[in-house]
Amino acid sequence: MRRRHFTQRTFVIGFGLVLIVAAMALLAPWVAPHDPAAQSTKARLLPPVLLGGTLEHPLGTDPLGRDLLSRIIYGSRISILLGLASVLGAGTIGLILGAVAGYVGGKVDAVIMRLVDLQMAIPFLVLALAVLAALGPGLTNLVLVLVITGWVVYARVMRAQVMAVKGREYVAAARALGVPHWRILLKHVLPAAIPPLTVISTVQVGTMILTEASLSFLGLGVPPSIPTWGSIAADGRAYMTTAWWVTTLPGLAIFLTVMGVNFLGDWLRDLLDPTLRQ
Amino acid sequence: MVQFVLRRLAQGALVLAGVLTVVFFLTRLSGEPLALFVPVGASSADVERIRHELGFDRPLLVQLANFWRDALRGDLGTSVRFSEPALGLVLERLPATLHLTAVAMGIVVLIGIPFGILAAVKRNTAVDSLVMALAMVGQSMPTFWLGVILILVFGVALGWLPVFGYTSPAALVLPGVTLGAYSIGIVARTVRSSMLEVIRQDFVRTARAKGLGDVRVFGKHALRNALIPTVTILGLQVGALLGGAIVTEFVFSFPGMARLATQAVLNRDYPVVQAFVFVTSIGVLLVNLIVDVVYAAIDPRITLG
Repeated sequence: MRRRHFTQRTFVIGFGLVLIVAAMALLAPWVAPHDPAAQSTKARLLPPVLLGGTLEHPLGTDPLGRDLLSRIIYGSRISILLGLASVLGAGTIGLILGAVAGYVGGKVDAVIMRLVDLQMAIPFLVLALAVLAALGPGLTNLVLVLVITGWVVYARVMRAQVMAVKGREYVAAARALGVPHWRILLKHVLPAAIPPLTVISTVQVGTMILTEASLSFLGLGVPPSIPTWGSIAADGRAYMTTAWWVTTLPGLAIFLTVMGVNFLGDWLRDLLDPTLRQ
Repeated sequence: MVQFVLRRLAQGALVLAGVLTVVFFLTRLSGEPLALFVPVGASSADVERIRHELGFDRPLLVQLANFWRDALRGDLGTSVRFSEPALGLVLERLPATLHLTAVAMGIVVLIGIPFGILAAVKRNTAVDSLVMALAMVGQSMPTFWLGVILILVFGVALGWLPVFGYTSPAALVLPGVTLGAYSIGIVARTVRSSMLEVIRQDFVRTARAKGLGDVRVFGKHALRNALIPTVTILGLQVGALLGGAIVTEFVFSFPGMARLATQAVLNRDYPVVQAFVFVTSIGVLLVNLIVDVVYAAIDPRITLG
């Protein structure tokens, strides 16, 4: 009973945080007090209102005098979009490759799984660094990098699910009836894999947002002109000790968002996979 | 046992050849690989000379074969920026990164495992909820953000610990915590759930029925078995730590190989990036091997064959 209570609490926290961020991203033009790109030499590095700043810039300003609150609000759009787009891309590719590997088996499976092994030998962020080094920074390249580094998780889960279901009687029956392979995969195999994939995708959105932020903070992700939480934080790198809010406040936004997403993922896991409930 | 290790080493060598192939083809992703090897502002005559020296005017497969051959000899090209062998530059900074990763791993083990056990023993209480919430916090914080906060609090405001470079062992503390935070959460959650898994099994019920106390049941019967999946997760964390070192070393200006690699990317010094990926993969593969051997040592059900 207590566990149930805990589960409900994870949902409320997770859903609440995600809802706030989603609303912020959708309503950015209406809730942001300023143009996120408007510079002002007179208003450089103003502190947040609680530290003696003004209500004009509630969270202070960055080194170019841009309003930090507005930048964080607008930044949520690109950070979230990047997170969702890369999960969608990586998920689609991983799902297809995993399904093919598990269903076809044999040499195809061996090739795909060696590719997985290979990628498991290179840490996520290290691979992302190497790919970005080759491609150069940019929004599209960043999504590409996140997709390239992210598909493995889905492929492994999907393959395992397909192999588990493949031998069942209802699949054999469908085949005996002459149902084409793609239809079997879609109608009989995929549904069983949806619960674990939903949980993974949710948590992966958080991971992708974190990765994007890390890469952009290092100056390797999006160009500085595009405000994402990582690139806004990067603007404050040189002023870490004097104007700490420029780096820490976007970081706080990332932290709360990812925590919301992770709580949602936990709740989904409890909901969709009762065997894991303890 | 020896046979098992040898076979795994052979498999690892194959994967490594694959890693080399990947870093080779990555340079071709952008269409013009030469751009990654030419210093900024080189004249067109220089560019042509470099093109010939690096063999970009030869067929692709010949280039790949040469790349493999050179790599086998420990030659991963010359740093564009430092004009020194790229592999040597990375290896010079490897010890610092190893120290940092070891400290982070120590923190992960010393905090993650006890707290995971605590949460399992006190399951469904406020203690459990608190530990799990903290684990979630650790997993949700951006590495750079935690690093900056720790610098501001313990370095700038309190002045307790060094925050830049690597001049004394104390300089490992803050980067170590920053790097480990993410994995602490994962390890604590894994330990908790595998403890709970074990507790439900028959032999634990038997131990209880014999009248053994909590300490004996949890400490002796449950913990040993619960630690088996934890070894796998700890092994996986080494990769996560080596990746996380990229951000951590950058934030703390820590003179390790990951920071070298980040600077290499910013300076378009691709051979150094390749050498970094190569060295990191060797590390991950070696750890995987060690995990498998340890696994067999602690779980009598597994035989190496």
